[in-house]
Amino acid sequence: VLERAGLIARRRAAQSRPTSLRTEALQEADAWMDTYRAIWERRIARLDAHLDRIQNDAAGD
Amino acid sequence: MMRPVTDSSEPETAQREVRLTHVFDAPPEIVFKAWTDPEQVATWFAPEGLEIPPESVEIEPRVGGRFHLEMVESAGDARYPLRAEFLEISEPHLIVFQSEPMPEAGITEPTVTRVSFEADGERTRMTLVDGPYTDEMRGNAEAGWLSIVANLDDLLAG
Repeated sequence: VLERAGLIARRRAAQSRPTSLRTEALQEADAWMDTYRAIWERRIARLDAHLDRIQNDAAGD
Repeated sequence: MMRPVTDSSEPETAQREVRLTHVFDAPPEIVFKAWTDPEQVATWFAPEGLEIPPESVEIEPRVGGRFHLEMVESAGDARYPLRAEFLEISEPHLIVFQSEPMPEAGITEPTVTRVSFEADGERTRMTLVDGPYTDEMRGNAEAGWLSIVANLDDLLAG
């Protein structure tokens, strides 16, 4: 359990910025849906970058 | 919340959805606003290879209101409209909109996008569910502007 906790802690440390996208609860691996999923993943990545930008602007940097 | 991966009681007409969660380093009010402010939507909503002219974005953040925009090919002049209507909207917690079919993207039936925003300290956990993608749409995914995205992927991978 400690070891697993350590693993989790390391993973969290490696992900100090919340940029990882997580896919879950898909009924089955349908390759043909990858394109649709990829569009949303990249949209979310751009939204993340956009939010970083406006938050930094708001902070007066 | 998670549905079982295999469930013999699933209806025979398989319906699939895109389900993603992401934690943003911003409070729900800010994330929600990024979805309803036309200027902001224009900056992040277009898939790679496409751009959204800010003047094409029309957002009426109320039930029955419009969520309209146009995606324009960056390296061409083809225009792909997105026409959707809000089914539910609750600032800053929830946005649900139904999009008209986009045959040019292989989407031949209306789809519903549900986006929820949950405060996590100063951050926001966003959960997005989009679909259904039905068997009828299988094989359409390489159609139209999706091929632009696919080609770009090839370029980036190469």
